[in-house]
Parts: sequence; structure tokens; C-alpha cells
Amino acid sequence: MSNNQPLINRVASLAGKSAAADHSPGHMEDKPAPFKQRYRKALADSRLSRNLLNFQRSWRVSRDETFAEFKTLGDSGEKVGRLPKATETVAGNFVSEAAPVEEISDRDFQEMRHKLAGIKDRVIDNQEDYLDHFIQAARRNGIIVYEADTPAELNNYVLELCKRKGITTVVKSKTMVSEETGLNHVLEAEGIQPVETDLGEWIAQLSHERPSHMVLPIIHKSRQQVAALFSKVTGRTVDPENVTEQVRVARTELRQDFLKAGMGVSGANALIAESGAVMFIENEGNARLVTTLPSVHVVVAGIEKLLPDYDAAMLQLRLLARSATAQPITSYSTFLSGPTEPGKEIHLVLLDNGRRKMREMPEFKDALRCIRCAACADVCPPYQIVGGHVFGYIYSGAIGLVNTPFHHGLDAAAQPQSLCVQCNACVTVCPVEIPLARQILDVRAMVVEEKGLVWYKKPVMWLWQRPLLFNLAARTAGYLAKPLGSNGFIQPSRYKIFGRQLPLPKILKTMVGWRSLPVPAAVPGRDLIKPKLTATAQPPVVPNGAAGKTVAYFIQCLTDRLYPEMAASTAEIFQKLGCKVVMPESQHCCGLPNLDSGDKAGAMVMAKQTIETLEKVEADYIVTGAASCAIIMLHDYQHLLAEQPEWAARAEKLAGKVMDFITFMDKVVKLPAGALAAPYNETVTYHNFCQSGNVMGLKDEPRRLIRSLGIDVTEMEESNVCCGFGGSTSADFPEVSQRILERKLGNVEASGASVLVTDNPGCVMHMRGGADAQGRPFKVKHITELVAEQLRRYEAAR
Amino acid sequence: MQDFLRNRFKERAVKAGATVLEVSDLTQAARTIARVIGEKGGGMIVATPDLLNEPIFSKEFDQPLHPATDELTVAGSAAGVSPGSFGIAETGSVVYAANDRLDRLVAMLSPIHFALLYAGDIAPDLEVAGGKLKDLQMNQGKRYVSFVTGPSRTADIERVLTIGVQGPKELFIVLIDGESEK
Repeated sequence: MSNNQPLINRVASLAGKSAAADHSPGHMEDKPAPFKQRYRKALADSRLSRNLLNFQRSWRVSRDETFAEFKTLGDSGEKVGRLPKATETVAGNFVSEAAPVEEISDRDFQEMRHKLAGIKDRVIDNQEDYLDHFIQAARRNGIIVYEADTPAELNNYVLELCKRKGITTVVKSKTMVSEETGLNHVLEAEGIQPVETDLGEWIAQLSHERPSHMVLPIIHKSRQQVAALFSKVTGRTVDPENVTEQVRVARTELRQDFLKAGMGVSGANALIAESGAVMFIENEGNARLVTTLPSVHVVVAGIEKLLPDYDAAMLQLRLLARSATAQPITSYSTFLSGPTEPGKEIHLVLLDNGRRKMREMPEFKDALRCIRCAACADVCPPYQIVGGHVFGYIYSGAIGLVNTPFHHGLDAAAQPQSLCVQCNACVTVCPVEIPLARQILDVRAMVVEEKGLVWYKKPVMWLWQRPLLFNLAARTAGYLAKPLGSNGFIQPSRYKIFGRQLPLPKILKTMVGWRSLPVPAAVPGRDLIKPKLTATAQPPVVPNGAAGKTVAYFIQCLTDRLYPEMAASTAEIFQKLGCKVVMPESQHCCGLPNLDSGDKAGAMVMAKQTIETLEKVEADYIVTGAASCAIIMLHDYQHLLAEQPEWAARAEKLAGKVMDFITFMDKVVKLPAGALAAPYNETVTYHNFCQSGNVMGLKDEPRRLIRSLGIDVTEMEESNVCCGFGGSTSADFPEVSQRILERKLGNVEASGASVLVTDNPGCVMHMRGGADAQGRPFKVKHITELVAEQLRRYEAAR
Repeated sequence: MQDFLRNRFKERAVKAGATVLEVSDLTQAARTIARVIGEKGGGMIVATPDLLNEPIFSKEFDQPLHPATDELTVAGSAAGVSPGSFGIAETGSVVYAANDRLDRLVAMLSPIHFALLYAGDIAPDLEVAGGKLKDLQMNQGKRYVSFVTGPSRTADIERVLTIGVQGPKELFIVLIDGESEK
């Protein structure tokens, strides 16, 4: 058994500041370094993204397992599982494979998070009442409560308390609020030594860094880096491979700080209004020591931590531990309602710092539900590349992009927010249903409104909003670009002059060296389709649910201008299924590029153009091969046009008719498995376009469609993780886009598939260009291309 | 039902990294603890006052049990013993509700912690536990209540699970047949 003697007397060794000034524990700059600097540093750190990739993969598996286990255990131990697979019979002489019906259980993640979100909403909507009730109850219990409007007020309160009591050492357990206010910096400046006692926070403090993750502060570091740091701080060699030994260093070193500290500072996971109690959860046991050993304890907490009662706290426990660390419960969950012995003082400082302002803004108030689990970071593709020091400010992950403008100002959020690829993965794991992706777009719109669009997007957006001019420009570009392309791709690194590679500027290599660009078409898709529309409806090739219906085809600008053949084959599919196809002539762009760029005004113009065009159409369905366009029409238009109720109503009406291609095939056409079977010798894998999966919930649907072609799907790892296109992200942060794409293409290659299929033209362009530039051994197809080809083979074989 | 809760509790506690020792009564509990500590090389055992004053329990130890007089004594002990208030089957947790600071320290600072728990005092899940917690805090004046689940742990370095950080490195739950008198 180890004794409790420190390995060396760390504090004494650092007392002579001159010798050790370069690594005096905890001294930190007031603010994070400028964004560009943080971004470059992260990209240059080759271990960072590797550490985070390992972390994200293992977290995902264990998080999913712990929620699944909770659901199947059930209260009584009876298995609560799936009902037997139902078979749905539809009109006609064919049977479709029906989706398995999940039994609704109050132990289901979706049910639990919906319930907690509702509870938190009631508190947010009546926050002052709950706050009053909580404060009164806490005061009755003997807690000294102070309300701080600003970070400075919180810091001063703690500082004055230390001075008044002659306290020189403060032990802290993890509190993001004290990171938000920069408490350590303020205490140090006055000669008071704050010591972080959570292992990760302590390591961050010793290396003068901030936590890069709300739950796992140093997840960006490797054990070798930790060992090097500990060796430096203790003056002894610490085994770079032995994590157990590294943890022992912390236990031994920190014990003495616990015993001599005059004050403990902790955070709070919840404030329970009915009793005035503070809940905090942890694994290490340091928070219990921080709150028990020193005679003065200060809790610092944001006012959004309020919960009505113990029932809600129990629900939060179930969701929080599973979402944060994939545990059913953490080692210690503590409920503190007041001082337990004479002489003990408990202070509680409640922080506003922009939270009340958030509450007053309908588009942002949902973010106050956050319980700081960091699941949004754990599934975030760009976070995996750059880490939390870049993807965020003090708060990291998706929630950090949303709350930073309120806690640290719009400037602090301006650049990090543009790293979001809008894949919506965060939304699917958030335990309180925060619409994070949409809120990030709202932050983006605020940034653009205040600072304007980045210079290179201005002319593009200007042109985009003018359909006639855009049409002319696109056709001209098609003619001009023709000589630049070969095999349908533009890849400047292949250009040769006198047999030698053309020297390319670095910027061009960064932008396109890793992904070839498509050659714009001189003749758009609409021109190919138009002559075929006069034909009367054909008899369907196979019996199906859409035969005889009228389909209006929304081509999408990318398909129309870059992949005209894809557009033509989509129309061909509808005709072969026996549909009458119409093509709204004035259709242009749904406005997604504008919305993605934060150009809200431009997006509104485009949305209105699109609504006007499509509501004139007489058709049973409006179908697009571009899932992203369907999603903006179905999910974003109403929010975008919310301030103009008449337009919002028109958007709602339109949403009733719009469908993406996969949904149309699954819900309307309904082909049974093998309906279009024909010889096909490729191995097909499917990439769930992130928004199709995360927003529309399409996972089984595309696979059913491919099975109806008589083709099996070979699954790849992480099929629902973004490909890195992310609209404007691939232009703003090509390095991030490239690395996310490599993760995706690596997974595809590992699956052994020879054909990669997906349902969004943007992803096709990105992955196809990447596969070409990197010489990957598979082809990339849009789902409409696969269906059209198979239809032709089916007809030929018949 | 009782058996079901007991088994579920055991299964969840073990999964959380605790060791469950099942005994028939307080005397057996003391003997088991003495044996485990003996096997680990012996040393001072600290205990909370209710156990020190319980002759059936304290007489079973070769060395007298030590009171938790201050934090250094507890931290320097070989092990600490303290009775839990109730258990939670869903999570395998033992709930501590002692107001006395030194009593609490036994469960916080001992390198090895023995948590005594009566098998009849196991609540099925967190919903029921929440109700009992509310009663403890709002009616019985318990100011500091912790759900203790397994030993102290961290996964901060590369998400490698490491047992024994600031709190106990080992947690033994001594599960005694029957119910507490309270």
C-alpha cells in the first residue's frame, strides 16, 4: 500500500518562482489565443485528431450500449424489446418490408430526453419563480446565497471571501462556470493559489491550458504527454505508458493540497428548487473532499442549472451519466442541502452572465436546457479534427458555439461557429433535445448580420440570388471549363507542362489537391429533360404505388449544373415507374447555400422564390434527388420565415407535398425486396448522408430501396458520420473538410465495397472528387444513378 | 421480489467495480471484514461511532477498531467501515446520509472502504431512491447525501479506466441478511 508522502514537495519546489516561472501551476492568460493561432496549432498537432478519433469511436459504442442496456433491463427485469417484425400490406399485389415497430418505453432515450426537456422548459419559462423558491429554501438551510450578474461579480465575491478569511489555497473540483469567469486567473493575480483537483483539470492547469472538453478536460492529450508533464512538475521520471502510475502521482500530490486548503470551490450539476439542495456528480471522489474538508465551501453555478424537484434530478442522473461518460451512474452523486457542522460555511454564487438574455430570445432559450454532458462534442466530426480549443471558446462542442456569444461575446464565437458542418449528429445525442444545429445557423446569421459575409462569398451569393444571370454565368462557365477537365474532373495537380507537373500555389493545393472538382456542364439537366416531358405516361415497368401519379421534379442547382445526366436519369426513373413528370420551369435554388453561409436575407429571397415556383405546380408529389433541399423545405423554411406568418404558412403548406427521392421510393413507390433484381456484380456500401439520417431519420429506408434492386448492402463502419462537405465548411476550412473526408473514405475502403452510394449530390461531389484525387478503389454514385442503371438492366434482362 | 432486488443489486454493484460480500448477521460481517483485511496484510481499521459502540461487531477484531478522529487518521488507515443508509438495485449504489463530517470521511478517504448494507434496505430504482432522498433531506435533516457506486475512478487520461483516484481504491459492500432496525 502506498504511503501518502508526496513524491516531492511540489509546492515548495515552486516557491522560488524565478526558477520555475515557466511552469508555475495554473498561471494562465486571461483569454484564449486568437482563433487563427489556435486553428493552426491544432492542425499541426498530429496526435490530437488521432486521440480524438479513438475517443469518439469508443465513446459512441459504449454510450449506445449503456442506453440500450437500460432499456432492455426494465424495472422488473423483464426484457422490454422489439415487437415481432410486422409486415405491412399495401394496395396492389406486392408487399413491402415494414419498419420494425419499437415499443415505447419510459426507459427509452427518446422518451427520457423528451421528458427532461419538457421539465427544463417549464423551469426556463418560470425561471424567476423557481429561482426565488430555490434561494429561499437554500437560505433556510443555512446556505449564503449571492447572485452575480457578471463574471467579475462572481470572481470578486470569491476573492473578497478569501481575503476576509486569510485563505491562501483554494482546492477546486470541476466547474465550467469558473472557467467561464476566469476565476483562477483572478485569484492568482492576488497571490491566492487555486488548485484544480479533478485529474484532467489538474493536468490542464499544470500545462497552462483550458479544458478542451467539458467532461474529459484533457482528452486531446496522450499518456506520453501527461507523463512528460508530470516528470517535469515532480522532477521524477514518470512512466510514459503507465496510466495507473500517472493517476497515483495525482492522488499523492493532491492530498496535501486538500489538507491545507482553506476553501473548496465546486460546481453544481443541478439546483433542486423544492429543497434548496445542490446536486453534483463525479467519479474521482475529489468533489466530495472539496466540499467536506475545507471549512469554507463555495458553490458556483449558472442559473440554468435549476430543476424543480428530486424526481427531475433522478431523471437527469439517468441521462447525464450515460451521455457524459457512458456509465449508468457515476461513482458519486451527492446532494448537499446545507452546512452539516458548526463552523462550516457554504456560499452559493449564482451566475447570470447572459443567461437571462438567452431566455428572452425564442431561438436560443432551448440551449438553457443544457446539462453539460458534452455528448455534442463526442459525435462532432470537425471537433474530432481540431479539438475543443478550436471548436468552441471556453465552452466547446456544439453547445459552445451556441452559448459563447451570450457568455463571451459574438467576436469569440464568430470563427469557431463556422466550423460546424451542419451534420446534426449532435442533435441526435443531446439528452435534452436542444436544436443545436439550427441554433448554430442562427448564431452564424448573427455573425453575418454584424460583420457581413466573408469577401469571397459576397459575389457568389449576389449572383446566386439572380436566376437569369446565374443561368447565363453557369452555361458560360461550362463552356470555358471544358478544356480544364478530363474524365469529368478538374484536378490541377495533374496539369503538366512540357511533361512536368505544373507548379501550383499552396492555396490551390490546400483547396483542391485532395479532391477533384466536377466540370460544370455547358448544357444543364433541365435542357436534357425538357424534350422528354411531352411523352404521355408509360405503363410502369413494375407494379408500384406511384404509377399514374404526377411527380414534379425539383432538380436542385448542383445536379442541374454539374451532373445533368443524373438529373435526366432521375426523370427517367419516374417515367419508368409510370408517373407523369412535370418540371417547374422557373425553379432555381432552395436557398441552402445562403442559409449555410449565414446569409439569412438571401436565404429568405430564395425560399420565397422556391415557394412561389412550387406552389403553382399541379402534381401529387414534389420530389427532389437532393435530400438537403428537401430538408431545408421541410425543416428550415418555417423557422426562416417565422417573422412573416403569411410566408411561414405557405412554407408549411408546401412541406406537405415535398419529398426526397428515398422517402418517395419508400413511402409511395414501395417496391418489394428484389423487385428490380438484375445481374450486378459490384459490392455496394451506403453512406447515410448525415442530414438524411440525423434530421429525417432515414436509415432503413435507403437500404430497403437498394434491396428492392436485388442488391445487398455491405455496411461500412460509421456510415452515418458526415463526409466533411458541410456546405461552406469545405471552402472556409479545407483542411478540416479534407481530414473528415479521409475518415469517411477510409471507412469505405475498409468495407471492401466497389461502389459507394448516397442520396445527396453535395456529398457525391465531395466524395467522388476525393476518391478521384486520392485514387481510391471505388466509384461514388448517387442513389438515383444506381436505381436508373438497375432499371435499365432489369428491362434488358426481361 | 426481495431476491430479485438483491440479485439485481449485486449484479449492478459488481459491474460498477464493487465487491459484494454476503453475510448472515453483524457478527459474520465483522469476521468477514477482519479476514479480508488480514489477507491484505492487516492494519488499522477506522469505523463510525455506531459500529464502535456495537459490541457484537467490534469484539470480532484482533486490533481494536479506531474512531475517525481526524482526516489524517482516516487517510492513514488500512480500511474504513461505515454503514450505508439504503441501497439502489438499478445502479448497485449504497446511499450515505451521515451529517457528521468525520463519519463521511470514512467513506471518502479510506484506501479500502467497507460499506455495510442490509439486504432488506434495497430500493428498486432511482425513482424510489429519489423519494427516499427527498425524505432524508426535507424531513430528516440529512444535509449531505451521496449515492456511492463502486470505487473512485477516472478515465481522464486517454479514457483508460483507472480505479482509485481521490476516493477509496476498493469498495467492499458487506450485504447483511435482513433489514436494519431503523
